[in-house]
Amino acid sequence: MDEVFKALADPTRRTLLDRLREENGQSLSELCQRLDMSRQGVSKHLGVLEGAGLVVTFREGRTKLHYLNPAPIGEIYDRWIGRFARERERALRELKTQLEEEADD
Amino acid sequence: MTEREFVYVTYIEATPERVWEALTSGDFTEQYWGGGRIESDWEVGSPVRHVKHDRGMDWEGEVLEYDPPRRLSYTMIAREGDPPLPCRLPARAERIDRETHPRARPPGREGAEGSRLRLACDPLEPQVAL
Repeated sequence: MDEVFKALADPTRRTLLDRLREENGQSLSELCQRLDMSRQGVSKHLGVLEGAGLVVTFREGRTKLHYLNPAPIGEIYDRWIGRFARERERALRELKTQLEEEADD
Repeated sequence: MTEREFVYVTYIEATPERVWEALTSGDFTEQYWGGGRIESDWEVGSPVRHVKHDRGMDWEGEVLEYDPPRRLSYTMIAREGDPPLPCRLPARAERIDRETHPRARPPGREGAEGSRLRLACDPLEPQVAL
């Protein structure tokens, strides 16, 4: 779990996870676009995310595609949110989302 | 001493009046309570029911406090499954004032209109509930 928190402590790495959430399964080149950083820098950050299990890769032909792996964050959630609290927690989070989406309309 | 089973505090970008509506309107509760809606006339002493889409009911309780748009409290007693214990659910929504709570807002959203919602579940002794 230390590796997950260390990986998440960096804003660039969180941005990379945001990009994968928007569109899962991207190549290194795709992830480098719109990021003001060298290919080498992005590659290094992806390595840290992969080491923490937050990103997994699959080869498709000659391209390596990066996917967001929800498992480590799910384990964090399970550690601190008890079984009986989950339904309420989910409902209250949804209440907030509904109210705030309404405000954005 | 009250032992709290569950405590939830969150900042919501909406007025306390809207938060209140989200907590008490049947139509609104349907949008976030997966699989049902909360129904009550919200008079103190009236029943509160969680009615599922198949018209079954998994819990019911009684309105203890109704003071819009700030303080709401009702009991929840399981008819089937969750909640595991009979409990009392107090909720409070308060306007977050920029001067008094400068740090209550998420970074970058300091100018927005918002509320803080606090909600808890306090177990009731089973004999009290029955």
